[in-house]
Amino acid sequence: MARQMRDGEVADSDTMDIVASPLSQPPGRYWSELPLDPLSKIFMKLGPIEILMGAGLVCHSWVAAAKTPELWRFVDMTSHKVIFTKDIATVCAMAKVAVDRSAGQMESFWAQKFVTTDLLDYIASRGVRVFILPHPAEFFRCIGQVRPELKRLRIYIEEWYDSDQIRREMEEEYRRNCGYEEETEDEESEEDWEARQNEDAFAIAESLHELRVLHIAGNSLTNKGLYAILDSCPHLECLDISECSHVRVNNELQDRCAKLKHFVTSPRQRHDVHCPDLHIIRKEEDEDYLDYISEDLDLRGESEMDDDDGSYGNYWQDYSPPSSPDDAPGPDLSKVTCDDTRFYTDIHEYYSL
Amino acid sequence: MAAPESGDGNNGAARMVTLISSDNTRFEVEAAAASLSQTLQLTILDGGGGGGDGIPLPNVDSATLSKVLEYCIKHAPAAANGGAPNATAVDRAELERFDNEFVNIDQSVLYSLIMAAHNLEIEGLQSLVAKKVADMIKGKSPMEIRRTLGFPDPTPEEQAEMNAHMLEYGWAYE
Repeated sequence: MARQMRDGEVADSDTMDIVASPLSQPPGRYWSELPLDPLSKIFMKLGPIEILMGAGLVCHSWVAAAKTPELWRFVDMTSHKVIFTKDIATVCAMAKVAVDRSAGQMESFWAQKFVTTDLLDYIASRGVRVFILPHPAEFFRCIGQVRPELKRLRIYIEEWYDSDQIRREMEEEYRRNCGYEEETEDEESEEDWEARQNEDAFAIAESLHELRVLHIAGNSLTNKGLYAILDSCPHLECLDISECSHVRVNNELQDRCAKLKHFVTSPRQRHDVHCPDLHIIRKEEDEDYLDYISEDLDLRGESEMDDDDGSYGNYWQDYSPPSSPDDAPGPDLSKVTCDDTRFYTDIHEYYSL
Repeated sequence: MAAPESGDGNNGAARMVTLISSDNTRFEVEAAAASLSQTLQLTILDGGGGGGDGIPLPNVDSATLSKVLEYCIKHAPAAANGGAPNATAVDRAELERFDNEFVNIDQSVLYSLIMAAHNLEIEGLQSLVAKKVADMIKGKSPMEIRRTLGFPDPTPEEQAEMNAHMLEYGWAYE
């Protein structure tokens, strides 16, 4: 309970006037009188979780400041450890408060796998434009159920969620804890391996037949998974499979992808392809990445199409091919392979829709 | 950028301006450093602050102003390079070291800096002090934040309001 400030000085504000130095005010009290602008800047540095759990509840004026819609335009709920320790219902409730406080100004929402279809609907119904999630394959199925008409799916992550791997580790731990002897584990067959690598791809193929744009850079899918997607997403126009180390660019793949307008197999090509959807959202240090998103949103805004059915606002906008004159097709992309290991490292852990 | 040379007696040298704190202390500083303040920049571009005039800053006391200017002088060269795209890693590391050291200060000084950076609109400084406060209160419950920043004990009304919020947002740090 150690109070660092001296309360005795409360009364000796003899020279106080409008422009007096804060030093002449009672210590401690002045933090509650911090103007909205500097307080917002502090809150921005804290992020949504900290505002919701701590700083946004400190005193009357801080509570009011925490409800400023501007604070909730870009909400990143991916990186705070609380996300992993609280139960899903609580985290979703926090996300809803974040959406409510944005008063319709939220532009992007970054989430971990706590997202439920309920929350997804909640956010979608409020017109949030960008929505980012880490991925289990079930999530694609879940999206397919709520939004089978989804046209753009952009995913870019550091480590793909490998449920199988996690299950194995848990089983192993369980065995160790129970004192079982290490069981000889069956060697995984090649088929099983491929099925596991293509779990995400198959889920996409199964659930999202209306896709126009798909970015799955860094995914584990193999050619088989890719063909499944191509077969079941006949409208696909823009595909980014850079850093997908299991994909082999061969003649068959090139033939099958020939009808795509934009086909990217290496990050290098993104610079050459004038497609607004080939911009990657990446999280830079601190707030820099917000600018990046804004840019990205602007680009999306330009390509906004009017034939959107409109029922979900700007959420999941339709993809429209670039129309400005300098949007000439990029160079011949089919000759570039993604086998260059230099490009496997700089991958980020966000999913975007 | 052809600001008129006011007769500040610094021919050939960098243009200087004079700032006057609330307690009437005069600070002479390079215009480039003072211009980190958006508020001052316009005045300086108009040729103000030179000679015997000086720009009065009724909201900033001398102790705070001297601290603010320390920041501005350190950061002015980088800012002049347009955010210093060609700054070396060494330069950046040095600025970072300076910044860390700079905000290692008493809370009341920190508060004064926040207000000064706000009033003078010095973007880099605003961000730096906000980060410092955020680091101080991160991971803390509302009560812990109050203690950390030396808030007075809540009045019964305040306590009731806080309790109500804690109840409404059941996930708050305890």
